[in-house]
Amino acid sequence: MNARMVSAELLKLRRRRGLLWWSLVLCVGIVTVVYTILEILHLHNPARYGPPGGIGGLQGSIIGLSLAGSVAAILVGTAAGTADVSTGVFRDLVATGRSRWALFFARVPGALLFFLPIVTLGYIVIAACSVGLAGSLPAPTAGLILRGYGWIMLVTGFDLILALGFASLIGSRGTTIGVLIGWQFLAAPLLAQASLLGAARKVLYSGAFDRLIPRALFTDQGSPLLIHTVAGAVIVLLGWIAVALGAGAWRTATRSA
Amino acid sequence: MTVSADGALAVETRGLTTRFGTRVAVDAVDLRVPRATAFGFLGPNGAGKTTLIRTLLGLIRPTSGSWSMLGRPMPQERSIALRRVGAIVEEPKFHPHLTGRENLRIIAAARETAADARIPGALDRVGLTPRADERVAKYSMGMRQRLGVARCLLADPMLLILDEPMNGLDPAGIQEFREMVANLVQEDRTVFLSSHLLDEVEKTCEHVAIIDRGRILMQGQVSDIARTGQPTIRIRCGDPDAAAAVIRSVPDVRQATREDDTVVVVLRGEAGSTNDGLVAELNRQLVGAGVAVFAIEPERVSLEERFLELTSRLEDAG
Repeated sequence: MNARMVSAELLKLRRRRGLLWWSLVLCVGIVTVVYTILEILHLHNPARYGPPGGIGGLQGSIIGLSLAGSVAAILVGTAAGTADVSTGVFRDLVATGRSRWALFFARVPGALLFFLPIVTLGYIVIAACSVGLAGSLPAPTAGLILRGYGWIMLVTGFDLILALGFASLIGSRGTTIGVLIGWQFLAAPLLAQASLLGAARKVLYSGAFDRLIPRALFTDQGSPLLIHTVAGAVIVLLGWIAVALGAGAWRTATRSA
Repeated sequence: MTVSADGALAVETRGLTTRFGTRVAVDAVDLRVPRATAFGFLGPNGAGKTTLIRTLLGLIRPTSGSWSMLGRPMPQERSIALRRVGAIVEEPKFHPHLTGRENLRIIAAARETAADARIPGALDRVGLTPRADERVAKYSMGMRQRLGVARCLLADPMLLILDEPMNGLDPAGIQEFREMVANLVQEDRTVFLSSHLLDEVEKTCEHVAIIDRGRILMQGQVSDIARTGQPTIRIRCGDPDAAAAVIRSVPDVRQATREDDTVVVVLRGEAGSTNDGLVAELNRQLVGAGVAVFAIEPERVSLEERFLELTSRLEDAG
């Protein structure tokens, strides 16, 4: 893997206009629209609708961005993981003599370089609105905003890598999107509620994210799902990343070209 | 088992076999592709051409046998050998949402740093510079073929492996392609050209191998292969019936048949031999019998006829 290969991966994604626009809509557009509507409501009827900013506004919009950002991450990750195979260019890349492992691992920083600036843009909107539109509410401190930013980067970056790895394994973008969205928004929450599974639920990464969310932002948060230590949460996330990247790399190395 | 690094050969295989389950796609192939030549790789559809190319490039693992590319044993030194190999396998594929130039950047990034600087020259050489900044989705099949060749040139290749490169090219494009292959060979590059278009291979290549059902049936210089059928001469003369009767009495004549004002004579000589002595004897006999001889010439057997003869023989045997 080298900088030129990473740059090539970035180019492939950057030029996909549909992907770029959907990522912007999900990560920037939604929060912008929501803040705009809330501010209009607040200006129209301040007694009924409080200011959209402040710590509460930051809290809600971080959760919103993490959900919309996860969907965008899945779209981007699956595109990055399957683009070469679906177009048939994978064969030509392998025929250059470049290692298949290098071809796979160049996708990861390429996709992150494409996606994380978009999420950052969305977060800048959130941060600006939570401070600028705080009104009479206490505005979040810089430290709090930065911790929220770190968490958003963690969640969306993780989802992106997971999608990229599994898309490289499966080879079909549509299938991977369906499976991951179904898992993320349906199966995983159901499993998290299934007490029958007991401590086995510790392997669900949603619990790990709950554990790592900035406590100062979510003071009313109950105990995170069965994850009792930060180290445990980190291990769960690293485990998922290792499995996804390992599976994707293995399939890329063994796939018939 | 490895093949020794022979600097005179661009590609050498020994007993190369690729099976898919019980089906043998490439069957104990011994192939020798000399350097700095245009080498035609002929075979009907499904003969195993593309499978052999994929095997050579290390895209699929062979079941047995060994091979080398540019003197490097494969797959041990695959990455080194492929640095100087450019290949199109089946039809060239690209990212349709990227421009031609951007698609070349994608492949150049996987090659050495110098490959980036070769992009303008490669586009120029295939005549795509004016359209290089259009999206590939808008390219015709012929333009994609050209872009595929440009992509090969990014390697500054000593060996180009082109699988059916003339598909989609118009007559002018085919002519330009022939000239480009000739120029590449003049630059001491080897062009391995897989095709089912026999006429094009005959016009473009000096060496050829014929493959069918995974087996190499014949390989060598195009002129030799075209000549290696039964030695045949055509005698145009004043009285073909009388001439045929005279010729049949000569011991080393296998067959003599009349075709209009010509007698087609199949000789017993070695395949590819000139049979000068026998031809002179026939001429003497005809003149002695009072037959006016206007012309004697060897019958040209085209590569196509030879190819059909070889592949149909295999079909009959099968």
